[in-house]
Amino acid sequence: MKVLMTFLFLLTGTAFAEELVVYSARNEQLIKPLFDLYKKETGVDIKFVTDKEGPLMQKLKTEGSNSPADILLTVDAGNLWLASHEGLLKSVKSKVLTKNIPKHLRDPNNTWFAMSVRARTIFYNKNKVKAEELSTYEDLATAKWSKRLCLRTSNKVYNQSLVAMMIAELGEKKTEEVVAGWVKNLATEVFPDDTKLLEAIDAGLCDVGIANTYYYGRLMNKKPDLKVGIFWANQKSKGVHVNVSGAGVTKHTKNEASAVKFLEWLSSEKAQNLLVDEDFEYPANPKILPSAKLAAWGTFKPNFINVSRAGELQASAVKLMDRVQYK
Amino acid sequence: MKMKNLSFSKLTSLFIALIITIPIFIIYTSLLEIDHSIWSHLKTYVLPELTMNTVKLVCGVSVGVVLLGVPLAYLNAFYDYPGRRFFSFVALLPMSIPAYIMAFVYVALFDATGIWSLKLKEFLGMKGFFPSIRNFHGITLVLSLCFYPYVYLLTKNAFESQGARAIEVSRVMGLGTIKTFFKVILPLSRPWIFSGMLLALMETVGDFGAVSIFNYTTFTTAIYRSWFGLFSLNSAQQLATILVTAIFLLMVLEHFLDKKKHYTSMGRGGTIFLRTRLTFIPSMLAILGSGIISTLAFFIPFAMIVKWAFSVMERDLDQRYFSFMFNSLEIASLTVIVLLFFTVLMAYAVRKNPGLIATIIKSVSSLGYAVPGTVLAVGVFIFLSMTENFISPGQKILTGSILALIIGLVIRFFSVSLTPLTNSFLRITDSHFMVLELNPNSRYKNFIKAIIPMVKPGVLTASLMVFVEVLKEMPITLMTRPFGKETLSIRIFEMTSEGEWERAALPSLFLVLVSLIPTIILFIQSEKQHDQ
Repeated sequence: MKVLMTFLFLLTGTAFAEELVVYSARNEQLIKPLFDLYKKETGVDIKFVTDKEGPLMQKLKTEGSNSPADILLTVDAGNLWLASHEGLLKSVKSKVLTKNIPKHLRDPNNTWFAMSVRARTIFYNKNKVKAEELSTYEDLATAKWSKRLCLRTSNKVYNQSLVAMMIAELGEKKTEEVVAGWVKNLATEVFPDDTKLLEAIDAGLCDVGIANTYYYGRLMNKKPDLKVGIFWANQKSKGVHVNVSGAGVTKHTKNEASAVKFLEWLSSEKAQNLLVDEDFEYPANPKILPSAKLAAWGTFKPNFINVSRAGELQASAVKLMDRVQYK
Repeated sequence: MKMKNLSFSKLTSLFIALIITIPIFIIYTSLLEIDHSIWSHLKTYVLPELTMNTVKLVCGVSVGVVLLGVPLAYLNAFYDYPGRRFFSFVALLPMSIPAYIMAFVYVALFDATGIWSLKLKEFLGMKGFFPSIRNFHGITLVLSLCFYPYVYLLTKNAFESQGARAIEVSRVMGLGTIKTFFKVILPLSRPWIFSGMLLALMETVGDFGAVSIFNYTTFTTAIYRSWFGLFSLNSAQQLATILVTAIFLLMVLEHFLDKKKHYTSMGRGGTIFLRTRLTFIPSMLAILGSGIISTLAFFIPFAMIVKWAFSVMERDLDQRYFSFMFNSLEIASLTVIVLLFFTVLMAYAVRKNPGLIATIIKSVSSLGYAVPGTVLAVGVFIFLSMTENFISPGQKILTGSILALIIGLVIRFFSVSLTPLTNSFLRITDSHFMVLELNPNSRYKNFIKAIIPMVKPGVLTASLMVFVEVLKEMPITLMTRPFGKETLSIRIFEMTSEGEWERAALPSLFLVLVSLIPTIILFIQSEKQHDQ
């Protein structure tokens, strides 16, 4: 009897300890340190599962009001937009979040907030290209880059977002011309990931390419004598294309206050520093300075169009890329 | 009593076929709502090329796995040469390397800017670059190397179980070695070879990881692109139904093409032929052939995995790997046990009641393997939630438990277990089944004592293949695992999803090591069986 009582006590004890459940499309190694720190500071235990964005959202949808999840954490604005669009997230009121996260990096209805910013810009082989020759993403479609450009597959959401944002800015017709130009200029088949692309630029198989900066950072860590330079695109026009990783509170959460508190903490200085130190990403909170390594690459003007546009226009972008045979 | 026994295996088969069909059926319900704008786009710009690509790849890999698997099986089943044990063991190992890891290794080494390509280029003092291997030929080679063990294992079972008499008869009739092979041995092994090819084929059409690394777009690329890119899960599911239907029709077609249908063993009370000892030159050729295949399919990728794993070990290896390994082992073992129970019953029922209906039930139960993993995972999850809501609304009694995960994996890998078992049951003569009917009082005891030993090669093969498949499985494990139940394959996912391939080598290495356990057991058992 005594054993049973203790057992029951333990059971209810754990049930009452404050706990949050996170569904995350961001890798375990990038989120776990944050969760651990939060637990240390507040005592709130964070349980999580990781998966790809698509299945995670489908899981939330299927579970409905039964879902144990309080927070959806995902990479790419397109996915955040979709989650919001499908009614999986809740609009939250938080002065802290609206203050910490700039307007273009959060949902217009405050269903999600960016936590880190990822810049997708131009990289070039330093032996073959001078930085002065580079200017914009659009310029990479001109004849001077014929057989010199490398791209990653259009299956990757980062490229879908980039093209979607170009549609938002230039319109569909102009964008289609640009993307068709890229495809024409390709030096070789598209690459499965940004790292392989950067390695190809380094080897001289291609002269220029488009990639996310954190892949460059990781590769530089491994090969410090990389012959690849970074160039901030579109500085004289709209600015570098940025994407985000972000989070929102789920529609059916039973712990809204606690979940919001966690998001607020994520946007705070301490968490932001940890978040961006883990990888080579930029903080979403503009008051926090990027890490020293990032600062060495210089500052850039980001594109200030609201990143949720990438989600709205993603399907159009994918169709456009299909039309011009961008694989 | 006789009726009762028959209906138990029949009923169980029907029941399990039904359960497996529900998630697939859920995928088919997507057909109720067709998005015409997406479909007209797909039809114009996407499907013509991808369908051709898929057909080409399926044909290429089917030929590839047969060309690699059948000769290797023939060599190791019928002949003895120095190193035979070693090579017949190593021939099984590529199974434990996930296809996308193998693909990544090949691209990392041999692509235009691959490690070895660049070194060779430097050595030769070449100006330009080697051609890219990221094309049809490259992916066909890599997938053939990944999937030939299915054909090898099943075909070897066929050769070793067909008995000595067939070959003796053929020799007596004066047929030479080559004629015996094509006129006697191959025809007697047709279902084995076809079913191995079918497993490889289903893996091929459902693959997304390896084909993307090789920049080769298939039907499955379109499925994931519609879902993740066009945000239309519905269209993705509709595309998947085309794939599933095609595979189902292929299985039924084979039923009609396979006129023979009698493959019972022609041994003499279990005696197995002795392996012929090869003379010097054929032995050398055998070693050379086996050596090349095992180098390409296992030693090269394994060496790279080891190299990368060591480079990240300091940073990533911690005591959590014990629990990753334990969880992987636990999930794989449980799945094997549950699957064996159901698939032995179904294989028995199919053998006892052959015919079109049996083929249909068998084929329907096998379809879980033909659906691209993530699409199936969604179907499985909806099915589990529905069941849970039906039993006790509003409570999470099933999803999030290990039971849910096992159910999902059983649905996924049913055909992997069923295939070797139905094959083994084909060798049992009708007179053997009479043992069961002669003594109805101890039927179950007899079943276990008399029938199971005869299908032991099938049981062992099924266990090994399912075990290794579960270890590698990602989508269903990701979607249905309980909180904190992290496995080696989940570890690989965490690393590869952001392109950190070298770091994925560490869990991959553990995966290969864990796979060694069942592989060694199978190997020792099959050698013992032969030596008896």
